[in-house]
Amino acid sequence: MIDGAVRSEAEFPALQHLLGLEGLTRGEISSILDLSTRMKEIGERPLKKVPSLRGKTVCTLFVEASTRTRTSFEVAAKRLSADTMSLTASASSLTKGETLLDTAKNLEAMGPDIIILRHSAAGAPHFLARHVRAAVVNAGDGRHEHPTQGLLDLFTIRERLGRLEGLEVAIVGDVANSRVARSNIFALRTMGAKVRLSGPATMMPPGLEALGVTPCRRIEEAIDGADVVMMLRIQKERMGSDLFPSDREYFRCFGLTRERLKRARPHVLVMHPGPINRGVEITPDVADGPESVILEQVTNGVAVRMAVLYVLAHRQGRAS
Amino acid sequence: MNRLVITGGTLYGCDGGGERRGAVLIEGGQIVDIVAEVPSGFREAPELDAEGAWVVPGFICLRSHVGEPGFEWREDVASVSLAAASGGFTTVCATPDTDPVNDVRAVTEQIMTRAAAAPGARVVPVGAATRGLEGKHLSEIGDLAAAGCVAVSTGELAVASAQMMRRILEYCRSLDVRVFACSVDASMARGALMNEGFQSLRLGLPGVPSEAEATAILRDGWLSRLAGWPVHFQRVSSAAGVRALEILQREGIPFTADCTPHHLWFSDEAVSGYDTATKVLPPLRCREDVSALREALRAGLITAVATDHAPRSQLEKWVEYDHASAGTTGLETALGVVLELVRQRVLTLQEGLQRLSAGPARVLGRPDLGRLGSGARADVVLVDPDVPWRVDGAHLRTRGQNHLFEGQALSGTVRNTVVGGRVVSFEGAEGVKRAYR
Repeated sequence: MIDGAVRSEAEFPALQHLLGLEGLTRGEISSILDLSTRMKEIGERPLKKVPSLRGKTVCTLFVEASTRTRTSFEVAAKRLSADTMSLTASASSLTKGETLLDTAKNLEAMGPDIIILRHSAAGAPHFLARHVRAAVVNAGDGRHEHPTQGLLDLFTIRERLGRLEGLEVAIVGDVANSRVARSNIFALRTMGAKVRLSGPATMMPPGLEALGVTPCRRIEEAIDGADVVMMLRIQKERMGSDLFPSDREYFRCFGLTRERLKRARPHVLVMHPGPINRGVEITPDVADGPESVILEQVTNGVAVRMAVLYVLAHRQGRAS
Repeated sequence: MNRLVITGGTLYGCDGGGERRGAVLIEGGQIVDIVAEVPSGFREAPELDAEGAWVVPGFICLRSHVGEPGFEWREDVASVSLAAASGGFTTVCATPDTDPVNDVRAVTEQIMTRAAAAPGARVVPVGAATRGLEGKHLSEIGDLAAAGCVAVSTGELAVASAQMMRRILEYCRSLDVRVFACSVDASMARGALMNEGFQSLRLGLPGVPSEAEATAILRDGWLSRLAGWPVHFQRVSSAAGVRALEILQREGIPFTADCTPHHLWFSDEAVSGYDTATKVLPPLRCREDVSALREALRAGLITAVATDHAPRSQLEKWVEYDHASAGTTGLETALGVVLELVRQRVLTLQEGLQRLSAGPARVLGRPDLGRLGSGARADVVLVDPDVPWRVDGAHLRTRGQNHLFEGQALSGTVRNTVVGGRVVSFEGAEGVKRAYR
C-alpha cells in the first residue's frame, strides 16, 4: 500500500547501508523525506501498522546507551510489521570480551535483514558493513554521524517551512563532538541550505569553513535572521575536559534565551536533538515555547526511520 | 678465512660516490677491496652473481618494533631478522617498548643473545632512557650501553617533563650515548586517533594537530642546546615538524632526524572508510605534509628513512578504529617506496640509497656501515631494480598481518642480502613466520 511511494528502485542506487548522510545525493535525501511523509500518515491512523516488512528481521545492536533512538527504531520496525530483536551493551557478550566482529557474525547467523548499530566508536558501522551481509543503519557512531537524526531534522524543517533550499540554519553548541551537527551539516548543505555555527572556540574545530559552513564567534551573529535555530546538547561528561568552565558560564555566553531568539526570523523553528539540559543550552520557556518543534522531532523520527528501514529492506529484497 | 666475491653488478654507495662496476671482495665479514679483476687469491672463493643487479650497502632501520620479549605473536628477533633481510636491511634497531621494557641490562642481554642466533639481519637493541619508558626516572643508561644498546629512546611521545628531558640529554652526553626521541607533545596526542584537520572533522575521529610535533621538536631542540647533546628526532611526520627542524638548523643546534616510508606516501585521506590499517603513530598527515617531508628528505634535513616497522596480529586490527592498535609493517616495502620516490624524481638514486644506508649509519656514528669500501662491514644488498611486484601480506616474511601498503604496486626486489659476509638463506623462513600462530 505504500509501494507507490518509492517511485522506482533506481532512486536509491547506492543505498546498500545508511552509514552517514555525507555523500548522499539531493535526490536520495528528497526521496527518503517524501517517503517519510507517507510513513508519518501511517502513524496517525487508529491502526498504526502496515505489512510492508512482514517476514523481515530487524536487529538493533546498541553498544552505547540510548533509549529514545532505540525505541524509535523499534516502533518504526514494528509499524512496518518486521520482526525485531534487540541487543544492548549490558545484555550482550560485548561486555564479556567478545569483539564486535564476533557479535556481528553471531547476529548474522540468525539472518537479520537489517542491523541498526549504535556505537561509541566512529566508523563502527562501516566496519560492521564490511563484514556482514545485512544492511547496516548507523544509529550514531561516536562523534561521526547520526544520519537518521539528520534526516528527521530535515524532514521537520521541510514540513514546517515548506523547503530547505536557501534557508538560514544556525547550529549552536559543541560542534566538534556532535554527530548530530555533522549529519545536519552534510545534509543541509546538500539540500542547499546555508549553515552557520556558533559555540565556544574550544568546541569549534579549526577549518570548519571547508565543510561549506560559516562559523560565528558570537551566538547572536549565528541567530541573526535565522529560519531555524538548532541547539546541541552540552554533554556533561565533557565538563571536566576544560572545554568550558561551568554550566553557568556556558548559559550566559551561549544559551538560547527568548531575548536572543528575537534576532531570528518571526517564523523561526527551535530544534534540539534531546535530551535537553534545561537552563544550560536553552531556557525552559524557549524549549516549551511556540517556536519549539522539539517533540515534533521525536514524532517525525519514527516516520523517517520507517522510511529508512523500508528503503533498505526493499533494496535487500531485490539483491537476494 | 670466510671469503665471498660479488661480481657483475653495478655498484652504488662506494667511497667517492657515483656508480661503478667491479667485484666486491669480502673476507672475514669485511669488505677487503673493490676491484676490476678478481685477484688470484679470490678465484677459489664462493661467488655471488650480481649480473643485471645493483650492488648497494645494506640498509639500516633506526626504528623497528621487534616484539621480543613480550609480544612474540607480533614478531620476534628471528622473524624480524628475516623480514628485514628480505627487504634489504642488514641492521635493525629494536625499540625498547618490549614487555618487560628494555630498561635494564638483563633485557638487553636477552635480545643480544637472540640476535646473535638470528638468521638474517643484525638486530641491535635501543634502550629505554627512563625506567619503564615512563619519563620519571633515568634508567641505568651506562649499563644498557655497555650491554650492547646502540642508543636510548625516550618513548613513543615526548617526555612530559622538560626537566627530565634535559637530564636525559645531559646524562647521555657524559656517557656518549645517542638519544632517540619521538617529539610529539603527549598532552595533545592523548586520545587522538588521527591527524587533526579536515579529514578528522569529516570522520568524527579525535585528532592530534601537527603543532603537537612542532612545539615538542622546538622544546627538545632548545633543551638539547642547553644540555650540549644532540637529539635524533624520529618519525617526523608533518610540514610543521619540518619547519621546526629548519628553525633548529638556523639556530645552529645540531640534530639528526628520520621519517617513515608511510608518511612519505599516504595522506590522511586514506583514513576515509575507517580502515584500521591506516591507524599509525604519528597519524598520517595531509598532502602538504607529505610534500614537505619529501622535500626535507631530499634536502637532507631529514637524514634517514626509518620504517617504524610495527607488526600486529589481525586480532589487534580487526576491531573498531578506536580500539585498533596503531602501526604498520614496513621493512619489506621501504625499498620499493624509496625507489618510487626516485622514479618520481623526488630523490636521485644516490640520495634514495643514501637515506637508507649512509644516512642512518651517520646517525649511529658507524663509519663502517652504510658504504661499500675497504674496511667496511660486509653488509651488501643485491637489488633487481625493475622487477615489478604487488604487496601481498601472505608473501611477506614478517609475522605481522597489518600492511598499510597491501595491494600497492611497487618495483625493485631484493635478490640477495649479505650480512657480515654471509649470504642470508630463507630456508625455513615460513616456519619462523608461522611459529606463533
